[in-house]
Amino acid sequence: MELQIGARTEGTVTVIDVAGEIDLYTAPRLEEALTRGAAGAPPLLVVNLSKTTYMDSTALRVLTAALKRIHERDGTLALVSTQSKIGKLFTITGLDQVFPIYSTEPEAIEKARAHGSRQP
Amino acid sequence: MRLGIRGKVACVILICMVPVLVLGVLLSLQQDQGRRNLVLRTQQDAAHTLASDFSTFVENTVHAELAAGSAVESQPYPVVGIVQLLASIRAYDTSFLWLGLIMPDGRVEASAPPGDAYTNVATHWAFAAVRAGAPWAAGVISAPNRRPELEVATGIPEGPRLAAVVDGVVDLTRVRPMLPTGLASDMDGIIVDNGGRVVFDLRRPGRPVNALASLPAVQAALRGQPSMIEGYRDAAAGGPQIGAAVPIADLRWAAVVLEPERTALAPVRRGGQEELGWVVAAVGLGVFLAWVLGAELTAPIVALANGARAIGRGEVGYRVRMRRTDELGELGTAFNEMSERLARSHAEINALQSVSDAALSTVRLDELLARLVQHIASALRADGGTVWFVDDATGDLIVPQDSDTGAAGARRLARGEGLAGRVADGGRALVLSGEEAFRALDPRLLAQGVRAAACVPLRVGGRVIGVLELIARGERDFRAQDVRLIEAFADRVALAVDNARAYGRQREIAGVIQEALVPTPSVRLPGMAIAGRYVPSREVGGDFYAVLPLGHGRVGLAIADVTGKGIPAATLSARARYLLEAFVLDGRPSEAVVARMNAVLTRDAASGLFVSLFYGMVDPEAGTLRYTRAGHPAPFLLRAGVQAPEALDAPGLLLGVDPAARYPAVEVQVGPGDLLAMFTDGITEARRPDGELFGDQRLVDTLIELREAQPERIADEIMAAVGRWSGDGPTDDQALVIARVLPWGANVGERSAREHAVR
Repeated sequence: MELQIGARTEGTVTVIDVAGEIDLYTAPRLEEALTRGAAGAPPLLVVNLSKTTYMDSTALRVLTAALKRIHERDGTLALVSTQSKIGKLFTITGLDQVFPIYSTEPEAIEKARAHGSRQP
Repeated sequence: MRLGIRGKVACVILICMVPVLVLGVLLSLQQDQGRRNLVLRTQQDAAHTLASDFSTFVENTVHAELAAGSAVESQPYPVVGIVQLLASIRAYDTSFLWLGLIMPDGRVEASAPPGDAYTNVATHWAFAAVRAGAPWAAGVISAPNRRPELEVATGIPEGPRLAAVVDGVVDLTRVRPMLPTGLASDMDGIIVDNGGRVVFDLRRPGRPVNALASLPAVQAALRGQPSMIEGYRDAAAGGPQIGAAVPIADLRWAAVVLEPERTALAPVRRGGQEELGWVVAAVGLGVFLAWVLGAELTAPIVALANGARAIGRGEVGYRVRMRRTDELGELGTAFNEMSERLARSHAEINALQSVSDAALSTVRLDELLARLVQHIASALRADGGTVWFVDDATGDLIVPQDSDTGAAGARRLARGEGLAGRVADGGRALVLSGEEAFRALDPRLLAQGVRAAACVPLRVGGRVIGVLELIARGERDFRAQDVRLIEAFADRVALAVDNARAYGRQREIAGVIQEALVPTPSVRLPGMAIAGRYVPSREVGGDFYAVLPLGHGRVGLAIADVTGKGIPAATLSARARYLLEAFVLDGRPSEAVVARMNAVLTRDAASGLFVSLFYGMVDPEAGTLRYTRAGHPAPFLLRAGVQAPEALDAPGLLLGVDPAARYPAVEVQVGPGDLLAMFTDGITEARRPDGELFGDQRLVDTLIELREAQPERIADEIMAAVGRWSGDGPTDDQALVIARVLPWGANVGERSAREHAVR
């Protein structure tokens, strides 16, 4: 399935919806969306992967690189994952310990917002 | 509402028709007047006829009276005889109510019927007129309660003297049958006397005596002037009447004809309506013809519009059918020419596109050239083509294998030799045609039956790297526009060649690096039998595995996957590989090896790449496997005698992400016969064409099925199953290691294990 990326704002939080497959060829689009979404100060991002059907290591690299940049600016990048195969990928790679991962979007947004309000 | 051209033409015609319509109506009205006059004339004629008939009647009466008078005068009749004569005339002419012979002194000599009914006729105007000298005179006898009667007095001369007067009273009702009524049924004929009084009315005997007296036309007629009557109304007739009044000769009376306008003018109206009908029909026909002719006019426009739409949809080359010689026909011809040119340039663009696609479809130079030449030759309807490359060392032109689809023969041309050599040297396109030209410049092509050829240089960054030569064996001239197209093709060919060469170099480098990394597929150690498989994807990736003897029978087993592709991945892979070899020395615990690897690789953060790694150390003597996992898919351990495998899934983050990540070690018991399967995601994520992944379960199933087989066979079967699954070659590197723990000491004769394991 073709990758479809949409971005929207929920108050201070930017939510990026990712539907379809992220691989070597489509990952640059995710990277672009993440860069654009991380414009806030601090950047508060939620990437909703509940409609993502496939991810490979390139996608992980893009997400991880974005996470590093966002952490440097005291922001947060939370993920929403409802599918076991996507969740499994994070478990295998240990990235479930690096990314805050939530099973519902409102929870992810709430946590991201809370993170933002803790910042000075 | 939107009017098409047809509608507009019809409207224009309709508008043009308006004056015609008005003129038609005017003419019709004029015609109406003419017809009306004709009707009036007819009525006048009828009145004349009536007048003359009445005159004739009166004259007949006069003749009868004259005859009677003459008979009486010619011989001396006794009075009784005269009475008898008069009675016989009355019997013959029954219209006479009374007939008398009157002496000039007014005495009634004799009468029939006898009696004194009309004894006073001598006092009447008629008698007086005759006695005054008129040959005859007529008058009306009117009395209350009696219908008017006609009195005709005729003088009977005797020499210059008046001998007597014959006076007859005529019953006017007897006139009717005697009048030849040539009048139409709706026409009324009326006789009026010199006073304008109605003497006789053919159809309406009850008409009041003075009904017509005041009509100017009647008065004019009494003055001797025939006149028309228009718009006469009387109470009894209802609507207006028209007619005519004419004088009755000799009598100073008038004959009047009246007819209701409604019936009299019916033909006029009918005629007018008919004419109007014709005019409207003519206008209608005009508009209809305009509509039909409009169709004739607009059909080609509609056809052209359809053509334009068709071209808009991409049906270039669409032709409109138009058999016309007028301006529209010219437009159609121009359209078809345009369409044809569009089709031609479309085909050229398509050919360019297909060449570009072909240029992008593969990076293998030999395949590429064969495809490109084929596309270009077919686009130009040439019989074949050759791509010659400049040999950098000698400056000669050479043909790589497979790039020639038509021209056999020479594979090498000396610098400047033949058409291709000249083009390569001069850097300019050349076209040859005609035997003479070939004989002079390139007899080799002539010998091959070539009769026309075009050759253009291939340039990369301004440097000529070769030429593209197209040939035709039949009658075919390469024109300037063909050459431009060939040059456009040549640009793409040159780019593709350059790209393929660059890719080839890169692949070669990556391949060399990678080759250095992959261990021999099969290793046999004292405590373990190990089979390794590695299938690189088309683009060089970063998977590797390692089997590392660590002394005392211990074996380090590692499998890793570097994100990314190409040279960056290959070099990182090499780096990781050497780091690993360095860190495992002396049998350092797995968690320490992995933590150090992470510490070093995280410092390479700039690369943005990371590595997944599984590292475990088997101690067959102790029967343990101590491992640490860093984001790598968990290997399966299938223990002898246990139905399902166990996943070695201790937690651990990918290497290179977090310098502070913690990597715990897990130690499990292993014994002889236990089977360990390590793999990269190229195995489990191999995709079937429909997108489904090979997955863990199929791997586990194969493992269980073949649990008794040698590692070599298990590895082969798994790779074959994965190959069948993905069909069209791997899109990601695939690495697999199958290791079986052997009974300790089973492999005596251990040589330098290090020699076996690592190249």
